[in-house]
Amino acid sequence: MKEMDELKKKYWKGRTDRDEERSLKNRPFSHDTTHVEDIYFQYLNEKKNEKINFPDFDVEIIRKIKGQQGEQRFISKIGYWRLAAAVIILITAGILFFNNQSGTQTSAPPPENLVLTDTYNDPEKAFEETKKALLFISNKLNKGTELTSEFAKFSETQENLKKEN
Amino acid sequence: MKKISAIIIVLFISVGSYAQNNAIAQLFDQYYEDENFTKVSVSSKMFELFTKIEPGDEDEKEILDAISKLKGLKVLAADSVQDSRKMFNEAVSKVSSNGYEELMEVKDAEEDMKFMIKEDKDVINELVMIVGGKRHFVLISLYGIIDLKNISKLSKSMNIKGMEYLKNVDGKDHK
Repeated sequence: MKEMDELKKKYWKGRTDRDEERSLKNRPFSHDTTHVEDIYFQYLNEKKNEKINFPDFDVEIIRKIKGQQGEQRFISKIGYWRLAAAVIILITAGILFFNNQSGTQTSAPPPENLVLTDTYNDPEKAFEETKKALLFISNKLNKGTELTSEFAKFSETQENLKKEN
Repeated sequence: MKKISAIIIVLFISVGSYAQNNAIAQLFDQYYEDENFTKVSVSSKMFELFTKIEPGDEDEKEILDAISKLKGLKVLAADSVQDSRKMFNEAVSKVSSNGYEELMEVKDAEEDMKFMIKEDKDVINELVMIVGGKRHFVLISLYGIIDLKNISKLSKSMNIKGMEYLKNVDGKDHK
């Protein structure tokens, strides 16, 4: 008992190690003990053996973890959607871009995409038609340039008049 | 997010330019079924065949010279359409958004006309002429190496009035 009293003193001074504390708590207590310290250690011992068992708590934690995983999966789903959308957009843009490129290449001197079929099979007729078209262009072109040259003459005369005055 | 916006912008630009490239083809397609229009199309193959034609006289020789470097021709013409001015404006806006440079524009009481070209290193390789009168509409597009001086010389030496072209093509059964 004396040993116990020594241990108790040491305990209250905060100098006991874990084994000493265990021997303080684990010793057999008389049920009707009135000693305050003994009641205290008895209480500690009882509490130590008590298992924490909150089923709701576990369920709650597991639910939360699962929920978080679900969210993560949802985020990664959005990620994949974004990725997929970006890939589709890139492919479409690429196709259109390259089509466009080839379009401009062919539309340079001979744009075969425009001149798909000949209206005439007979070169003579086609030539006649080409001749007419060219003459038409030529005529209109001259109409424009004549107007321009007339205007040029006019402004030249105007300039000359200004100089003379 | 920035990347996605950039991709979308690129997409729109490419779609836009893709549509633009086909502006002239679109115009031909648009009036392809319309019987009021005369459609003429001469391919580069046919132009190759022209080189084998023996010039009958000096005039023809000049024309053969002028077309020797051409690769294609398309004509869309009508001489009795109600909304020719509207068509003219529509065609001009379609073609000018196609990267053509304006060469000349003439507007008078009779008609509006516009010449547009595509140049590469000072060589004209496409010429589009659009004419819209009170009831007539003409769109001619020319490809190849285009010498404007040569073309301009043609009518001076032959002195053919432009409107005769429409009279000549009208009424013929073309494809």
